[in-house]
Amino acid sequence: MAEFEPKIVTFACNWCTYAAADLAGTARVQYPPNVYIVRLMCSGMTNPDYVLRAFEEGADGVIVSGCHYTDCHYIDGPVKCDAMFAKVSKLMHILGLEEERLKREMISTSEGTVFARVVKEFVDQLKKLGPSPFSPLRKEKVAV
Amino acid sequence: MSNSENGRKSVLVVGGGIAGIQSSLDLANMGFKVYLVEKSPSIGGRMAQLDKTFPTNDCAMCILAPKMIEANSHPNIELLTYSEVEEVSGETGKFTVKVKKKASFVDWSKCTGCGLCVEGCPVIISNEFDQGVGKRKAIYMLFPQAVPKKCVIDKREERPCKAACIDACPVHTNVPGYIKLIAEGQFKEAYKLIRETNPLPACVGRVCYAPCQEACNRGQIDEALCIRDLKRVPADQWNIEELEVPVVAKTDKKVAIVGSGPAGLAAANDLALQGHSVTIFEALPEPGGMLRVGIPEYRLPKEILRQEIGYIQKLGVDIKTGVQVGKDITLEKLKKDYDAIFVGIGAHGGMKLGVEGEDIPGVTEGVGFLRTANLGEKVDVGNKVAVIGGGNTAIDCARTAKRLGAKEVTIVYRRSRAEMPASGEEVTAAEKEEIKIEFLTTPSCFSAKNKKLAKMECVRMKLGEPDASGRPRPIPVEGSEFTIPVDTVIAALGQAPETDFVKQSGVSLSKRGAIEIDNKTGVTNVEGIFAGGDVVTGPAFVIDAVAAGKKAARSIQQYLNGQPLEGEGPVKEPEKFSQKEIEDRKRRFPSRNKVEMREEPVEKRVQDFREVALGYSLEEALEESSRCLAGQIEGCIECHECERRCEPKAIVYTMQDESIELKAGAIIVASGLGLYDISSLTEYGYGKIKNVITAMEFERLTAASGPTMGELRRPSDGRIPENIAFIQCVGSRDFRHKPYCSSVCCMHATKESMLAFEHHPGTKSTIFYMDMRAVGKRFQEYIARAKKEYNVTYIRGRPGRIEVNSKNDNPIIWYEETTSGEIKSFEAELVVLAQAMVPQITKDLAETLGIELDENGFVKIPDKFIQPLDTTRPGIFACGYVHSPRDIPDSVTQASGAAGRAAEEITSLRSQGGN
Amino acid sequence: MNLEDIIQETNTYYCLECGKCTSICPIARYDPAFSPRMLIENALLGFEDELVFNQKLFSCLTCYTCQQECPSDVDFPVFVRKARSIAQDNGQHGICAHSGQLQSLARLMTSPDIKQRRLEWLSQEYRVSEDSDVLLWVGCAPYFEPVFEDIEFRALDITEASLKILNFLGIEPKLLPDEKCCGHDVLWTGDEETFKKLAQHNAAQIKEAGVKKIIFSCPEGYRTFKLDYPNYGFDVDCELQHISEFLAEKIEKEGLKFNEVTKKVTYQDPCRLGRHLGVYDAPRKVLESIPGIELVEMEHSGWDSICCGTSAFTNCDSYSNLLRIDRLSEAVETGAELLITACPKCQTHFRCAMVDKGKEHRPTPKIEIMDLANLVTNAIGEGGNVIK
Repeated sequence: MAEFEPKIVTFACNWCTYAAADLAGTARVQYPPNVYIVRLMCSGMTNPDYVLRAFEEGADGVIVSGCHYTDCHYIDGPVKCDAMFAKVSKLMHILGLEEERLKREMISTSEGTVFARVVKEFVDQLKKLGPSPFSPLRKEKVAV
Repeated sequence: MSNSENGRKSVLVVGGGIAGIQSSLDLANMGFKVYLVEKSPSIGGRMAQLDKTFPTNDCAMCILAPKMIEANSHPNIELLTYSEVEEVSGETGKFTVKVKKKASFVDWSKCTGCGLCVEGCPVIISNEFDQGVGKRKAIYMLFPQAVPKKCVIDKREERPCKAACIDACPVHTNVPGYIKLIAEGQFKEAYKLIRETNPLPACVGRVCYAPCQEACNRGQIDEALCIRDLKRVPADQWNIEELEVPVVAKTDKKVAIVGSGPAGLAAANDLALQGHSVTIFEALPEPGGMLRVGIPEYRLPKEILRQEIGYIQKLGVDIKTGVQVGKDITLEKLKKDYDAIFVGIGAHGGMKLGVEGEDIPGVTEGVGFLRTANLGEKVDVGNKVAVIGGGNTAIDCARTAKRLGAKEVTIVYRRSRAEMPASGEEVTAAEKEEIKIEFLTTPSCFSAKNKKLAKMECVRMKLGEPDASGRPRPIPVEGSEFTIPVDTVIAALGQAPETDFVKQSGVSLSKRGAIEIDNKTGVTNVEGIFAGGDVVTGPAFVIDAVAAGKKAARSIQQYLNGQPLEGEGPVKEPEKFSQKEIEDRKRRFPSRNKVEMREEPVEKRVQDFREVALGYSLEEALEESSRCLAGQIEGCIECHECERRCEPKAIVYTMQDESIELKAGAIIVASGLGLYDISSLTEYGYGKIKNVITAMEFERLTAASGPTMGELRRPSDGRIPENIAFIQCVGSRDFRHKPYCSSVCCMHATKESMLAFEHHPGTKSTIFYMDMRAVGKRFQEYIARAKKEYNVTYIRGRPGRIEVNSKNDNPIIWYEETTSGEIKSFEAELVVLAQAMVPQITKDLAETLGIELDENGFVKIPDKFIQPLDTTRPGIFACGYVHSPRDIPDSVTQASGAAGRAAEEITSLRSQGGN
Repeated sequence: MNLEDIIQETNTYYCLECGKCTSICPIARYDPAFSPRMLIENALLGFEDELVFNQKLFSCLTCYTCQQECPSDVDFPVFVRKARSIAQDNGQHGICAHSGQLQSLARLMTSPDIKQRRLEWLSQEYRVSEDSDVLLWVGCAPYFEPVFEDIEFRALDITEASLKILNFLGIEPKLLPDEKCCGHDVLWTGDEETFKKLAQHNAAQIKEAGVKKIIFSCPEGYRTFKLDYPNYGFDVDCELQHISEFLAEKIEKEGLKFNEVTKKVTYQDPCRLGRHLGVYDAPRKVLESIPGIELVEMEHSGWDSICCGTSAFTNCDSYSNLLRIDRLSEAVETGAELLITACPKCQTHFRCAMVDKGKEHRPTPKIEIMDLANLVTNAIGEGGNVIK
C-alpha cells in the first residue's frame, strides 16, 4: 500500500514568502515536494474562498503566508490577512476541519530555511493526521 | 299566423340582442311564428349599451332601434321580455317550452312609458345597464329607447313593515319614501316629496303630533322612528329658498280663502298649483294663523314659517293681511267677486273660566296672551303666574310666561296626568323648565289686593264617572280648599271659533258655533263655500287642518270644473304586526335605539325664545333614517309613490310571476355576451384605482343618452381626460383567466380612442396591444385612420402593473416596449381596460335547454365544418357571441344562418312527417 | 436535460412575447441588460449559446413576480434554473458573491467524511431534547456568522429567537448536529449534483431522527424541503412549517396572547415565503396579535412585494443595490420604526445595503431591521399569557 502523501497548498506573498521559497530552492535547502505554491502579490489579498477552494480541490493542508507586520509593501496587508484568516478558520472549524490543517505563517524574503522547515513539519504532521475530510471530493473529480 | 297543434311552424328564440332580433325577423318574414324570449325588460342586448359601432362609427342605437321596432310590431313575432325559459321538453319539431314571465309589478297593458313614476321613486340603485357608472330607481325603464317602452319595478323582497305611518298620517305623506331619500342624502328630493302632500314640511316637522310615530311598526320591535324629527331634516340640510317655482297654466278662476292658517295655506297651495288665482284674507297683521300667533317661537321659529309661507306666495297666492272678513269686507262681497270661497279661520276665541273674580286685572285668557306675545307686543307677566288648563295651549302659555321673566309658573289642571290632553313631550319639557303642575286642582275664586290680583283660591278634585268627553269627571273634594299667591293668571281652557259673520250668507253652524260641512268633500250647505280646520272641528292639530284644506281644495277644483264633488276614497286603517311578525322582525333586524333629538340646555333656553330642539346633525339624520324598516331592503320599498303618480293606474304591487307554455318546432340560442369581472386581475387595480375603467363603462360615458349625457368625464374628479391609455387583452388570452381571444376588443379600443378625440379634439390616446386583430372588411384601414387622423399611438407591450399618482389620481402604467426592449412607465389621465367577454349562458340554462357547453362556456358545436350552427341537441341552434367570439356583423350573419337552419329543420321534418 | 426539454416542461412554448414579465421584473427595472422576455426569446429561437453563455442568465432573482402574472403560465424561474444547469455543464456559474465562499461551503459539505461542529453556539439558556418529535432546522446560520460579521448580522440570533419561542410554548425541539446545507442556493444556480448529494444526506438524517414535524426560520430551507426535495425524490414525510405559521396556528387555535410592544412596523414579504409558498397572512396575523404593534404596509406588499435584490448569492451587483435602496425608501416612507422580515437572507441583503453610506445626493435610507422571531421574543416571557 502506497504511503499517504499529503498535498499542501501554500498561498505565498510575492515579496516575502514566495521569495523565501525561491531562496530555499537556490540555496538547495531540501524541503518535501508535497507543496503547491500559489503566488499572490500580498497575503492581504488572500480571499477566504481561495482557502476553501484549495480544500475542495484536494488539499490536505493549507498555509497562508506573507510578510511580517512592518514589512508589507502595501502597508497593512498582514493585518487584513489576519482578519481573513480568523474568519476562514472559524468556517473551517464549523465544517469540522482539524485546526492543524490550516496554518498562518509570516516568512520574510531571507527566511528560506524557515520556509523549508515549516513545510517539512507540516508534511510530518499531516502524514499523522491523514487525508483531509474533504478528500473524497477530489477523488470524485479525478474519477470523472 | 296561428300555431299548429304540434307547434311546427313556430320557433323559440332565446335572447333579444341583435342576433336574436335578426333571426326572429328572418323567420317571421318567412312566415314562421317567433317567440322572442329576453330576460331583461327590453330587447336590444349589448348593442343598446354601445355608443357607436366599428368600423363605420355609426350610432349603435340608430341602427338597432329600427330593428327593435320592427321586431315589436311584426305580426309574427311575440315579444316575451322580462321572461326566462324554465323547461324544455320534447324533441326537434315538437318542443314544449315553459317560459316564466317575471312579475314586473307594472301592468304593461296600461303603462304608457311616460316615466312620471321614475321621477318620484325614492330608491336609488346602481344601474347595471350603465355598468354602475350611473344610477337608476327601483322603478325604471331599461333605457330611453326601450322596446317595449314599459317600466318595471325591481322588487326583490317584501317590505318588512306595514307602512302604517302612511295610513296614520292625515295627509298620507309618503313617509318611507322621504326617509329613504334622507338616508341617501337626497335632501332636496326629500323636501319635494314631502311637499307633494304637505306644503309646510319644516313647520310640521317641528309641531306635528305625529300619529305616524304612534303607528310606526318599528315601535313594535324596539323604538318607533322619530318621523317628525326627520321631517325637518331636508329643510335643515338644504336651503329651501332654492326650491324652483313650477310653471303652471293659469285658469280664469278666482278663489278666496278666509284665514291664513295651515288649512287656508294648504288649500291656497293646491289651488295655485292648479293654476287658479288665489287670494287669502287674513285678519291679523301677520299670516300663519295659529302657527304664527299660537305656537311660540321656541317651538316654531317665525323665520321658518315665513320661508314656507313665502314659497306659497311665490306660487302666486296673494295674502292680504289686516283684512277681517265680516268686518272690513263681507262674505257676500266675496261671494260676488270670487268663484269659490274657503273658510279656515280657526278657533281663536278664548273661553271664560266662569269663576268669581275673573274680571280682576291680571286674569287673562290664554289664546289672547299667546297672540300678544307672539306678535312681539309687550306683555307683563309679573312673578307668580298660574296657568289654568291641561292642553298644549296651557303648556305654551306656561313656558312663554317663564321666558317673559316670571319666576314661578304653575299649571293648574283639574284632572290627573293621564287625562292631560297636552302631548307627553310638551309636559316633560315644561317640567324640565321647573314649571310646577298642580294636578286635580281647580280655581274657585280670585282675589285682589290693592286692586291687583294677589291670590287664587283652589280646591282639590277627585276623579269620578266618565263625562261626555269620555274622561272621568272631576269632583271637588270637600274641605280641600287652599290658596296659591299669584299676580297673573292665564286661563287656557279651550278655543272657540268666532263664526258670527257667516250666518249672513246662510252657512249653518253647530251649537258650539262650528261650521258644519260634508265630511267627505268639505263643502258647507252653501254652494261654493267650503270650510275646514279648527273652525269645523274645534281645536285640533296642524296636520288635521292641512288635510282639511287639501280636501277642500280637491273639492273646489271639481266644483270649478263643473264636476260632481267626490270625496276621498275609502281610508285604510294603519296595520300592526302580528305576534309572529314581531318575532320574525326581531330576529332579522338587530335592536337599535332611536336617536334622541338634542335640545338646548334648560338654564340657557328659558332666558329667551331660542328654538329648543336643535335638529339632527347630518350623522344623526343618516343614522335615524337608516332605522326605517321599509328602507332595510334592497330594491322597491313599496312606498306607493309611483302608484300615486301613475295616471293610467298601472302599478300592481301584488303581481306574481306567470308561467306559460309554448310549442316550438325549433329553438335558437342567441343569449349573447357577458362581461368578465376583471377585478381579479389585481395587477391592474380595477376597482381600487378610480380612473381605471372598463371599455363598456367608457361606452356608457360617451353615449349621448348615458349617465353623463355623453360627456367623457373621468371618475375621480369629473375632468375630461386629454391623455387616455387603452390596455388590451385584460382577462383574454390569459391562461389564468380566459385563454381565448375575445375578438372585438382591438377594434373597439380603436373606436373608443376615435370617439374620445371626437368628443374632445386633441385628446391623445395610446393603445397597448399584443397583436392588432383587424380581420374584417376595412378594419385595417380603420386602424390606419386612427393613427393618422385621431392622434392614436399603438405600443406593442402588455403592461404588467398599474400604479397611481396620488397627487392627481392619474394611473401610471408600467410596460415593456417589446419592439425596443425598454421598460417604461406611462402616466395617463384615464385608463380603459378591454375586459374579456364571456358567453352569456349559465350552466342552468344550458341544462334546461339540454345542450352542452365547451370548457370555456360557449355552446358546444359538435361538427364545426358541416353543421356549424347545430348544438348538441337536434333542433336547437346557436348564433352570436354565445356561439363563439364575434362582432356585430358576424353575429347578424350567423343569426340569419341560424334562422335558415331552424326553417330547414322544421320544413324538412314537416315534409317527412306528413303533417 | 437539453434546452428543448426545458422549454416543454416550463410551458415556454406558449410565450406570447407580450412583455408583461419584463415590465414588472424587479431587477430588469434597474439592469437594462436583463430581460426575461429576451432570455425566453433566445431559447425559443434556438440561440442556445446566447442563452447559456449570457452572464445575465444568473441575474434572475427567481422571485416569481413574473410567473404570477404570465398570461401563458410560463414558469420562468424554473426555466432559468434548468437553463443554469446547462450553463454549469458548460463551465458557467454566474458571478458568485463573496468570491464564492457560500457556494464553496455547500460543495465542501457534500463530503461524507466531515464531522461538523455546528452547535457550539447552543448555550444552556436554550432547552433541546433528543426525544422530541419536533425538529428545528438550523440551516446555514452558524456559517453565516463569520461570513457576515462586518455587516453586523448574526443569523444565529434568529435561530436562538426561534428556540426561545418554542421553549416558551413548552416545546424542547430536536436539533440535528449533522445537518447540511439544504441546497437551495446550489439548486437555483443550476448545480444539481451538489444539491442531490446534500438532499440525500439531509433526508436520511431526518428519517433517522424520527421526527414528525420540522419548523423552519428560513423560508428558503422551508421551500426547498417542501417543494424541491419531493420533486427530486427525497420526501421527508414530515409536517413542515415556518415559525410564523406555527405561531399563527397557536394564536388561532389556542388563543396565544402576547405582551405589549409599542412599535410602528412594516413587513417585507420574503419571495420564498410569499410568492413561492403563498404564506402572506400568517406573519401578519402574528404582528397584529401583538398589542401595541401598528403594521403599516409598504407601497408594494403581499403578492406585489419587491424582492430583496439578490438570489443565491449570485450576480449581486450595483443594480441589486439600487433595488435595495428603493425598497428601503419604501420602508422608510411608511414612517415605521422597524422593518420586519421573516427571512435571514432578506435581512442580510438589506443590512449590507445600509452599511454603504451611498452618494451624497442619494444616501442609502436607514431603518432598523429585525426578524419576526426576534420581535416576538420581546413580546413573550415571564408574564406573557398563553391560554391553552
